[in-house]
Amino acid sequence: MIWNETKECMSADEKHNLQSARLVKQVSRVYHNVEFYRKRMQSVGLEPGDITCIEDITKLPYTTKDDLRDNYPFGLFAVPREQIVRVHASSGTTGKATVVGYTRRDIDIWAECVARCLSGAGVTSKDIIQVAYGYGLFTGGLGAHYGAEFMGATVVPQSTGNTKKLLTMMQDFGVTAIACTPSYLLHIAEVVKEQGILDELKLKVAICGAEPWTENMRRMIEEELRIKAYDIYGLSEVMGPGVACDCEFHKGLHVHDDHFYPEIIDPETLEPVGENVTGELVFTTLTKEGLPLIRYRTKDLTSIEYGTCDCGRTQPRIQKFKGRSDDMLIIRGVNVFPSQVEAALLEMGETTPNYMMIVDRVDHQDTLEVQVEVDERYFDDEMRGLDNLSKKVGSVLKQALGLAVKVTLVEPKTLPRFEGKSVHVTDNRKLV
Amino acid sequence: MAVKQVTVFIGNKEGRIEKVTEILKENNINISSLSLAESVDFGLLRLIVSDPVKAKEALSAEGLSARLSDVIAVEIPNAPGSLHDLLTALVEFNIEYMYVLSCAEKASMIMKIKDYESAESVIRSSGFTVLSSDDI
Repeated sequence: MIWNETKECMSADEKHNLQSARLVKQVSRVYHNVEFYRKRMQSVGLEPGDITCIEDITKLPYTTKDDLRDNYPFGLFAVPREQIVRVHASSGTTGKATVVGYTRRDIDIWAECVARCLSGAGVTSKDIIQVAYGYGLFTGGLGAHYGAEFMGATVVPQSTGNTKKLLTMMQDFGVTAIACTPSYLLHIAEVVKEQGILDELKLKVAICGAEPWTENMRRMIEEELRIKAYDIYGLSEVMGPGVACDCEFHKGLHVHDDHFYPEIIDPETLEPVGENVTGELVFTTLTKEGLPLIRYRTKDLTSIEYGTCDCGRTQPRIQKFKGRSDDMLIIRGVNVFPSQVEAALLEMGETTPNYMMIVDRVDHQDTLEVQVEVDERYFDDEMRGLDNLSKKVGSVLKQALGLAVKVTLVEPKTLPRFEGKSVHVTDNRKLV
Repeated sequence: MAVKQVTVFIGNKEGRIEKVTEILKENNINISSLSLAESVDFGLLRLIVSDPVKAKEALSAEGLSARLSDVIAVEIPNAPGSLHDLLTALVEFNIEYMYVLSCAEKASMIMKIKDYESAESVIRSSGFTVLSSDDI
């Protein structure tokens, strides 16, 4: 079902006019309200008057996660702080969080975008939906929650962590929809099988996101739970979940391009590339007030297909993600940069700074093992001392990453050394 | 008199103990006793050797994590109940670990006790002999 036909099925002309008008307004707003953007534009000799239509977007400089970090926490906000009604944060490359802020209107638009996604997945106001993303600084929980509430569905703000309770409520409440990460849903499917309760469930649809998944995983989820599963995409910098979503034809994720203008660029030359060519996904937020982003480089590698989808929507469709142009990992929905591990170990100082991260998927749940070298200055002749060391490393890393980590102590000089670009990650997850 | 023990951190996998004995052999160091404490991923190899300082240096030079620590070597009669008598004397102390040093006419034990000095005087006053490095 299409939530907002006027916007989701707009004609090319109408869209061009709307996007152009919104871009002109947005550029003028950031130029006058955000010093960073003003200076960036001035450095390439641009003034707001140079931007007259959506095609002019290519004249504008890019924005990166580093820019967000350098202006931590509120430096890129385009409204006075009093107008910000909520902030979220995600982990950055160096341990400092990336902070995003929303005005009341931003929150409303976000809810509308999520409602479009849910509607595309067949959710209606008659449904009972469990939101099993983490609630808190992470955008997943509250983002999905507000969208579901906005469309009038009954929301169960389950959050994560207690599968048994989730299933009890799913049965007792007659839950019909769930929003969570695909790997968590596969785990849920397994528990359902163990408990033999599939016939007791009324679940019919799942909206999964926050981590990459594959067609095979979707098929597995659909078969094991006898439901339909849909993909939802987003990133906190741009808004959160709901930037783009799947429809019943599964031909790519429809971008809500009346609010978020997507481009694909070559990450090396930074030149825009054509339709169906893989490159780095870039977003410009056309309506966002709190934290507007101009040509924000997501580092996600994908391609875009244009043209009307079989579902009738005219939005551009993001194709399967092919990886990242940086070294960010997504583990159980949490963004993790290897440099965070390095920084935490260096700060603690009781191991050598060498480490290896081993990511795996066991029983459909992501696991992270960090191997660290024992420094002879810090180890003890007693097991107790090594136990304490391993616990301490574990808690320091958990604090730094927001993720439980299995710590393995290894002998010094046994982890690989690198000349030039180091490779600190072995990702054994098979996304098949 | 404390006895110096060499402790080596080794991965719990093939060939690691052999690596330690190889280094000791090359340096002509004799092993009097050893014990291995193991966990899933790693082990602690504790050694009483003829020249602990040289052993530690040789192991560190090869990139292994090795350190010296003070342990007590106690001689007890090689007879039923003598170990029990020793442990009764030390019942107030937390013994971190212990292992056999020798088991000939006289038996002897290596013990790691935090409060080393008072443990030693309790051992002596209970009639046991504390061995020094020269005795081993």
